[in-house]
Amino acid sequence: MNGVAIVIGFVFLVFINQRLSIKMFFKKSTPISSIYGPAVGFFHRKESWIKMLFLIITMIIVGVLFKLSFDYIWILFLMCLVTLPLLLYYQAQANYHAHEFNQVTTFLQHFLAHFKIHQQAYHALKEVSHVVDESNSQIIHTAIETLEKDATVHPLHFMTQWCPHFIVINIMSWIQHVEQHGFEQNHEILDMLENDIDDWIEDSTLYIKNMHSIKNKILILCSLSLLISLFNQHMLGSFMDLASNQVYQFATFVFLTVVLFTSIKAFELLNCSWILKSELLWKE
Amino acid sequence: MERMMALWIGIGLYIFLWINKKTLEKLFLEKETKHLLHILERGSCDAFSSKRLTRGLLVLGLALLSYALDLGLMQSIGWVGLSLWMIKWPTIQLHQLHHKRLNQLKIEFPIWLRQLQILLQHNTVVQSLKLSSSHAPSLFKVALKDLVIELEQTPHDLSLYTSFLQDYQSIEVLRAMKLLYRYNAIGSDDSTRQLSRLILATTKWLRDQRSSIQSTSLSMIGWWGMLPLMGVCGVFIVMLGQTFMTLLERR
Repeated sequence: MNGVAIVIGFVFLVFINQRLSIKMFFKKSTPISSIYGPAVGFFHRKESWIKMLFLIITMIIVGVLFKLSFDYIWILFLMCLVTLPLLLYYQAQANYHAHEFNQVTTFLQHFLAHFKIHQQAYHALKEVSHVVDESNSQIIHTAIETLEKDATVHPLHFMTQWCPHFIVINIMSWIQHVEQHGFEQNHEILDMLENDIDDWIEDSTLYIKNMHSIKNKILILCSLSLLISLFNQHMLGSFMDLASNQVYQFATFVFLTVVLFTSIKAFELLNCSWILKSELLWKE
Repeated sequence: MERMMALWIGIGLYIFLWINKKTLEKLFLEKETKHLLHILERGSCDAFSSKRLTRGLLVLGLALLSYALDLGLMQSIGWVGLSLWMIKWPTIQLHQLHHKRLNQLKIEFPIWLRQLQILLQHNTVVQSLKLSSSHAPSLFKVALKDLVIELEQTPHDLSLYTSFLQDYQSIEVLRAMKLLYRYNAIGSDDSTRQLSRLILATTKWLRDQRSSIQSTSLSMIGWWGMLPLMGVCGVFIVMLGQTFMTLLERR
């Protein structure tokens, strides 16, 4: 059965590698740099080693509680070891998605507010460049420079690359019309656009909140199943030598792998964009 | 002897089915298939029915062959089941595709309608429809172009508005098109009010669609929580079996 366990462990590693290249863990610049700062890899941080120490202690405790043999514990430890950076990566992705959504909506809200006052996209762009972070501010500055060189370019053209959402396209279309025909009789459309952004924020926030609540529920169910399994093990331990029972050892190993897999799936929910794909501009 | 008789009856029935293929095509033709084929532009109904029935009858022939070669009754029943599946599967596929297109329409139509509302501020309905066609979803781009051509000839024909995307039988689309007609027909006096109504209706529609997509995705995800519980059940059953084995060994 140890051979089968090794195969399960190998399949698990392949599964993780598909989501996040294991090779990346050892590099200095990793996709989880948003958590650890730039140019600092997972194994190049002291915190990572402390987390690994906790992981080793946890695995020993699990091994003792479930009376698992050393052969299974080390395979499980290896699986947990590659899972840890993946979970951190998902956490980083969640932060990234939230930040991007916040940046887009903040920019749009401020842009519309300034456009209402100046009634010119160029001035509105100049005003809002400071409300977004440095990287996005740079994009806006480039757009302003492009606009200064060539006035025929749409002032929000850069948004089609940044976020091709239908609200963005509607705002672009509306601005074009206002700049051509004037602001009169356009208050209703402006209200509509502002309401659309507010609704978008509200719906997306609620969706992500629900998503997090489902993630927590799945993790609670994982803990609950571990607890039930532990009771089961205590019951059996009274009339059976579990440490030498190969069937028990293998069944528990598979069960713990399933729990680990489900935990990954729960954390995978964090890696979800706040912007619905179906609301992005349709392609041919 | 009995087996031979059953085989000959089977062959007779099989030939009878091939001779009466046209009647069978009518018998298996579902009410909505013709309508679905028309919407999805999947060719003629006769060709569709003939193709799936030919496939089904060919697989049914394998059932007869497996009975003749004495490969077991279960295998023959399996082939019969497969032949029925071959006949029904294309219709199921049509339904799935239609459902997918309908969902796509329900998302893309209000998004397009939003664009139209912005264009309506400075253009007439026909002009706005014409301008919006460049950004219109591919799903109804052709239908929109046809509508624009027809409206340019008879701009006050209500039936042109109500017949737009009529095949999908969507109440929301019909409602929006009626509002659009009223906006076009009533003139500037009441146009602002009509536009407000259209905006309100689209806002509600957009939010409903968004929440529907999100709740569908959430309900699917929630099932992952069952996996560890199924795992613990598995461990429990395995260990129960193991306990029984131990008890039997002790006796």
